[in-house]
Amino acid sequence: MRATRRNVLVILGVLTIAGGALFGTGAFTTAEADRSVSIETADDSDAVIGLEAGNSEWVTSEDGQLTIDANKLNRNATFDIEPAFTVENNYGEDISNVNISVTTSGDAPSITANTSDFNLPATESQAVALKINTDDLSSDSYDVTLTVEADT
Amino acid sequence: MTRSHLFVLALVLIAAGVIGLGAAASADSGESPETAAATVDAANGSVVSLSPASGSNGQYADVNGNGELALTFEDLNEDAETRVDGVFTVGVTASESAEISVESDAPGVSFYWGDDPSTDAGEPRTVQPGSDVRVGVYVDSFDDVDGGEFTVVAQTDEDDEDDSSTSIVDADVSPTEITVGESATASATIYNEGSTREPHTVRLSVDGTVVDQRTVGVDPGDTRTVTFERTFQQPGEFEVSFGWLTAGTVTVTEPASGGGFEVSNASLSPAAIQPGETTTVTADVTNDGAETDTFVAELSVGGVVVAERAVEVAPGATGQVTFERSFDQRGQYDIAISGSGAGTLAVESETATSVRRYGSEYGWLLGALTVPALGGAFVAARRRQRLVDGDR
Repeated sequence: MRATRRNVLVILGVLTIAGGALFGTGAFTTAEADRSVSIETADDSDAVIGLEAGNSEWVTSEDGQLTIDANKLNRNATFDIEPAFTVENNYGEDISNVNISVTTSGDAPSITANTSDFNLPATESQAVALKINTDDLSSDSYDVTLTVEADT
Repeated sequence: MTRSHLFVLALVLIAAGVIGLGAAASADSGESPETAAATVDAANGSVVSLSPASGSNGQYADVNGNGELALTFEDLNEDAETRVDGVFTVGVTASESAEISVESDAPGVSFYWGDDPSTDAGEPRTVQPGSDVRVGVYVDSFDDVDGGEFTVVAQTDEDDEDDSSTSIVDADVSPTEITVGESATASATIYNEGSTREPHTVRLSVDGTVVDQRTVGVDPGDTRTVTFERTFQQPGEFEVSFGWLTAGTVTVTEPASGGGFEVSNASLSPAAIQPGETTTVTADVTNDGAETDTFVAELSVGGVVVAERAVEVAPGATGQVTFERSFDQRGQYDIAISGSGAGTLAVESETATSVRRYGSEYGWLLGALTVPALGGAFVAARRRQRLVDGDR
């Protein structure tokens, strides 16, 4: 039997009812507190981790979001884009050990960030280079995940 | 194919905290932890405190004017997953351990324990008395997000209370800033999840002392709101709660011309009696105002107001208020007059302390267990799906 989503939900329902019966005989006291969370988003250039495209043709900012425009990339080639983009610290305090990693799924092109971990004082920026290899690449749309990780 | 861009960047922005588990409130905030923390109070002491974490990610948490913790994230990247470790802490201030969970009702927002996003803060974690646990926040902004509500659930074991199908589900007090002599209105909403009409006794506590109570009937499946009006004659900050649930903190200030009453030097004589005998409790009442005024003193026994007495005091003068009370049951009783402690009365020097538990809530066990489990599955499924088809 394939584990469809409906099956998972059914299993969960049975488990939780059993849990209620198991503990239902004891007396418990529960306190609940409702609190609020407020979230606003911003363009990549203004966000808490600011991302601004460099001067290259390949990495651009579209609709406020950092984008790799690969229609302009030759196939079976390697591009060193420097700087591809800059990371700006809009966090309000110094951050350290900033790690840039790029992951692609399936047969997407190989993309690596040419940088080691760096420290980034508040409001300062650091340029990041990308190496993109388009060997054996077919024309398709690929998901690429850019991860920026930092110690606060 | 004329797509303008072949590749799509999905952002995962991760801010990891390296500062370890800290105190519930930062020591240099200039405020005591009690005032910096939002608390879920019980009549016999607070249960849980919610505080901004001590690391710099605590900047996203704040205790607002109602004494409630609020989270604010500005300028998060759009179409990104943002992870912020250790934003706030949940501390257990009760004398027993509690099962803590954090449930999100805000779209795109989920919570995890400490700095491990593979955990789900909707799954209860046991926190020992005096300890706290840090909570991280995960925001998925691939869809529109603007916030919402989240719920902190604290569950403690109780062994000596009977069961009930009614519970207080909401509590509020307003206004929260008044001057002495003015009143605030506290309200509690009771829900009956049972199948028969049930009575529920609502007990209003100020700084942990039950000052008023009323019993109302609640129809099955229905809610009912009970309100209390409370006049504050002493300046200061007062925690108003119904049992375990904090309604808010009322700040009572003196007017510029001065005013209000101070109660001091409460005492008890004798401090040990036999059952059936009488003890005398006295306190000084000082009128800080410019006019002769009447103060209503409250005698509390075991954290519950049992008697009131009005005393008229001239401006700038100090009067005395006296209560006489007899006790038939053996035991030890904490005695106070209007928040000024008079000490512990021993009735035939029994060692057993009196049990003081009020306003305990029941019947939420199933909800507390099922909601996090189902919520966690939905969140996980949705996130996987977004990652797969995050094409935009």
